[in-house]
Amino acid sequence: MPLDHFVVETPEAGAVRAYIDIANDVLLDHTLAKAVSKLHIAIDPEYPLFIAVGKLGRLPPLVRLRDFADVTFEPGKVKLGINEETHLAALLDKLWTRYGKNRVEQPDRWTVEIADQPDLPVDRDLADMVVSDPTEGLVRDLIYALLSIAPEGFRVREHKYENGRFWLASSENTLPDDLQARIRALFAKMGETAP
Amino acid sequence: MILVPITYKGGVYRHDEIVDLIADLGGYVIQKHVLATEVVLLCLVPRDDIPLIERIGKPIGGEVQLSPLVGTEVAIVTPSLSIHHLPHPACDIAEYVRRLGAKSNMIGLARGYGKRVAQTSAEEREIINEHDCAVFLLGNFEHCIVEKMEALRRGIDVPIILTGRPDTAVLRKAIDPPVAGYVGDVGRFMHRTKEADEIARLDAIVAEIVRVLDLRREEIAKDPLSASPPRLMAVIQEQVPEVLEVTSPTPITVQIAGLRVKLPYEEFADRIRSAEVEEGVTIGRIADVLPSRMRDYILVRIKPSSETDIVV
Repeated sequence: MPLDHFVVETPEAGAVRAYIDIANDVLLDHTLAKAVSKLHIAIDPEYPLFIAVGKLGRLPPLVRLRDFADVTFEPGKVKLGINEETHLAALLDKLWTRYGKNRVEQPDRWTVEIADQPDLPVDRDLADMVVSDPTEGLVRDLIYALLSIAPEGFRVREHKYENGRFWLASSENTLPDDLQARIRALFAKMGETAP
Repeated sequence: MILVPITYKGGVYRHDEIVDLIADLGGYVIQKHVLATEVVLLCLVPRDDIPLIERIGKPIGGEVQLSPLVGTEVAIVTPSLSIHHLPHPACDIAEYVRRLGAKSNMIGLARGYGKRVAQTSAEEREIINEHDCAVFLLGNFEHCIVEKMEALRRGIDVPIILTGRPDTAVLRKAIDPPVAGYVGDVGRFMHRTKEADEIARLDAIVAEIVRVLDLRREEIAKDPLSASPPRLMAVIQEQVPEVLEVTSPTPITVQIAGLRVKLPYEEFADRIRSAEVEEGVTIGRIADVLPSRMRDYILVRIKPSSETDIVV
């Protein structure tokens, strides 16, 4: 895998190779191999504790309304000409939350209209509205992948993602008091700071 | 007459001649697969007659191979049925064992994962104990295997073959009291076994199953069974013809010392007990006919001759 940093550490030498293979297979299966740039896994079978820390590579850009729709302000309504349906469901969710279902119409498959009323005006910068953040889905997939890598019995879990850096810890017992210190130490081994 | 397990592979054309030949020689066809134009017969045949079967099968494109696991039922036990353990390695191993003629059943434990929390239920233990042997597929850490094996093996009476990532020698040294067999360098992995070294590990598992089952056969040979399991299979097929209507690939699964009959216990147990093997000797006299924990099947456990004073 083309990762800048990919290390598995455990007290049992034989298990290192096994977990390198497991992490490799899981990240490739979930098409995450290119999204992750650094990954460091530490497993302590005695406690038992699994910690994975890492960093994502280049983050995918935010999807804004103007990326997939033409916005036209007309008297009494704002017309959105949809060029690509991929993000339509997320867009409708956002519009319903912001303007209410009674003001959002869909006269045909490729058009969405929002009632523009003087007392309830539509945002003039609507085209810049963020419709979806692909990183959210990526992080969800990443956490799921890390749970597949971790031993199955480790049901006590905690994870965090912030600005491209992530960690996940899991255990059969309660997580140790010095968990944050351990995570910081692992990030330091990668040359990064913990989120 | 010593019966030897073999697999016959050939075309559909005139394969009935081979089936008849095996019956005439006093052998038994345990299972028959018809795959498009190919027929695979899992059989037990007299050792001395294998060259004859090869000679008669050759003109019709048939091949004979020794399959040491024909006539055995093996439990492949995984800690759970989650993505962590399935489809690899559990399915790969279960499928590979089948290729060598065994009937393998995959048993995913409800709470077999974890080091401290691993356990088996009474039902799981009873189902595992209905098999000839159980292959436990454990993970990558010696520390965890040692700890959880203590809980998982409790109540298991059939021979256990333990697989895990540590070397075979490490497993052998670590598990106390010992189990029947060990195969190291397996453990948990998440890709299909297709490389040569991975196939070699599957072969090692099969070799260990064969070794353990041979020991079991030797043990049984010291006090022979009152009847051979394939013979009782033939008797049931003849006298309880409803079993031929069962759609399962093996309506009667042959084990080393018994049979699993895939008919409802309530309805058919008495008919099986009263089926005559020879004049005056019924199955009920030489075997225990019990309800199986697997669905509502029937489990036939053949008694040793020392218990019945009968060998048929």
